[in-house]
Amino acid sequence: KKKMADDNEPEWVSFSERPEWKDVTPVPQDEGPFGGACPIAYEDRFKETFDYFRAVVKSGEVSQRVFDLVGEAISLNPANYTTWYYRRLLVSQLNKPLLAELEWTTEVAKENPKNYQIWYHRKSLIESELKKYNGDKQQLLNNLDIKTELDFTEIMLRTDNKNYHAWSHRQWVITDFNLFDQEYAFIEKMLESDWKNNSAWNQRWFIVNKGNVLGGGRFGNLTDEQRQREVDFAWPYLQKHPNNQCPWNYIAGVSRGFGSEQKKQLKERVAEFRAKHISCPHACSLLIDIAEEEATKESLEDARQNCLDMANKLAQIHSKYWFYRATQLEDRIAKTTTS
Amino acid sequence: MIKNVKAAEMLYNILPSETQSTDSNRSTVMYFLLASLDVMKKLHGNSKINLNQAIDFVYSLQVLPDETKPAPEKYYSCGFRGSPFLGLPWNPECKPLSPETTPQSFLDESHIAQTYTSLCLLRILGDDFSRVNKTAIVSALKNLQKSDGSFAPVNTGSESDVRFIFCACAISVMLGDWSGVNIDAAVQFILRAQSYDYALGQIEGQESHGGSTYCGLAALSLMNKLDELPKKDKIIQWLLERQLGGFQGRINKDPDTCYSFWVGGSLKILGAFDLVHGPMCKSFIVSCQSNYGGFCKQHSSRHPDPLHTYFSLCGLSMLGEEGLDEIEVRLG
Repeated sequence: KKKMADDNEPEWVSFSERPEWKDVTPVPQDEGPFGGACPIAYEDRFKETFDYFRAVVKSGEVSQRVFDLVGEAISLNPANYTTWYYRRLLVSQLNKPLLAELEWTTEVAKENPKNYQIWYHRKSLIESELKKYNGDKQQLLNNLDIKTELDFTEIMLRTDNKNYHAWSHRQWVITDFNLFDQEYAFIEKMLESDWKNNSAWNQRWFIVNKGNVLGGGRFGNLTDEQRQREVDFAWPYLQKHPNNQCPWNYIAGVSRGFGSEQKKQLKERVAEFRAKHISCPHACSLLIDIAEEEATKESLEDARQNCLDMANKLAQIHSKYWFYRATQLEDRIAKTTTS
Repeated sequence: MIKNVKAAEMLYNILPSETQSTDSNRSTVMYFLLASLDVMKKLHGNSKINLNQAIDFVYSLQVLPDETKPAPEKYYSCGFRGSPFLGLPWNPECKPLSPETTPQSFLDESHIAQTYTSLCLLRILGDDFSRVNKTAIVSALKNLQKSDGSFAPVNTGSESDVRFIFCACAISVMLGDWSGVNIDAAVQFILRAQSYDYALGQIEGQESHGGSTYCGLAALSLMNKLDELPKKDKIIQWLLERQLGGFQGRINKDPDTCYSFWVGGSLKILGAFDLVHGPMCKSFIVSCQSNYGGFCKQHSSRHPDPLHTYFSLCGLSMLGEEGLDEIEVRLG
């Protein structure tokens, strides 16, 4: 049965009716005597396209018509990593311009937003291009506006603002081409439209730790000043939406290396907040962690009481976990001498 | 459960054309269907499933050594491909090829996830691995591991992350041979993938995710290196906090049945599955069951699919659902 053509698409013509393919004999799949296992009821268009695909793979032909055929094969099954690889070989062998290929990939991506392969395809094309300049990034950037990669991720993030590949792709572009500075504005823009977007929060962590602007470097090697700045960045978000876990986890993460004075200040700040938002589980959880770290008999007892609060009131679905934490703390208290 | 059995049998018989986009990884879909039947204890002794034919089909997907090259290069593409789409000749006996007939195609190569899936399939089908070229696969793994400890899935280049470390570990366990894996390097990669909120992302710097966390934990567990991962209590907390009824895969995303396995399984590996709110999890999974059999991603989804069906059944199995077999959590 023929697939109904989309309104915008020209109607598909069977390969057997295309004069330019007259000389090629299609090659069917060989699934053995009993038809393989788990067979798919291929539509005519799919079967034919891949029958011709198999034929050109067998002959090893390199040509424009093969390039177009591989493009059609990709559109029918964009998850097939082999066809993408073949496409890259052809791009190279036929000297296809990079920009046109990136644009074509964008169109495929728009039709298939969850696809994995398009991202590596773009990265690989750009890395191959870089090789042409012997690894000289400046020369590459003279010929390619790398921001088109960031723009592309923005297109994809419009349909799904948490698209994992899009955020990873941004991380790659930013790292390889040193574009850390401008990412802060992008993150804030994303948070403005969705303060619950955990991918955006994660991105901030990434930039702060790897970015040159704040002089980060290795993960977790921030100065107290940098940590404080990040806590202060996150704070208004949790004030506005106390039950959004993102800024809480963020603060817990950035404050991990705090000196004792700042830890104390943070503890007071969180305790004050908890007093005003008694049903906020995240404030309670953070206090528990801070108190456990303090490890005095008194702070451990505070933590234990808070764990019981979590179990009984604030996070009842996770009550078993919080009772378990409370019990662990009981054991620790018994072993701790009074400070 | 009967309608789930019937649905899986029907799909195994013929997959609808909508599944064309899974054509290149057909063996994965095959695994989800047959493993679902297996969990429901309806694989062996099922007159609708010819086990020997299924085994032959899997073996027909094995990529054989390139006899034009010396070892270890001849093994670099070895393992299993995902489907017969390249049109290579049917060869379930895995008869070795001659230098004149290899490589069978310049595009032919295995994919680590398909190698993993194929071995899982052979296992549940009761095969003895006698036609599996273990030397070749282990050599191929060694070549796929990168200097940062991660594994690429294919010899021709691809992204690399914790998913494929998991595949490499599961393959090594099933073959009983770890010489293809530099364990220390793999462990270091996984540790670097631990996020500021303690769960794992796909690679260092990426957002913590239920799927990546499962892959990392399962891999560490299979390598007997779970002890090296710090803050397990906090990871347990992160995992439990993903339960909002059903499980979500990331903070502030909607619950999805497959995370009953990825997140539930992670908790199982950490010995904390008993802290899950069982009834709420079960209730969510059951609400995603289709009237025609199979399970959907969410209750608002239109159609069930083999992936979500399989992981929903795994979730129910872990919850102790009657009539379901136990699963080997660390192998998936």
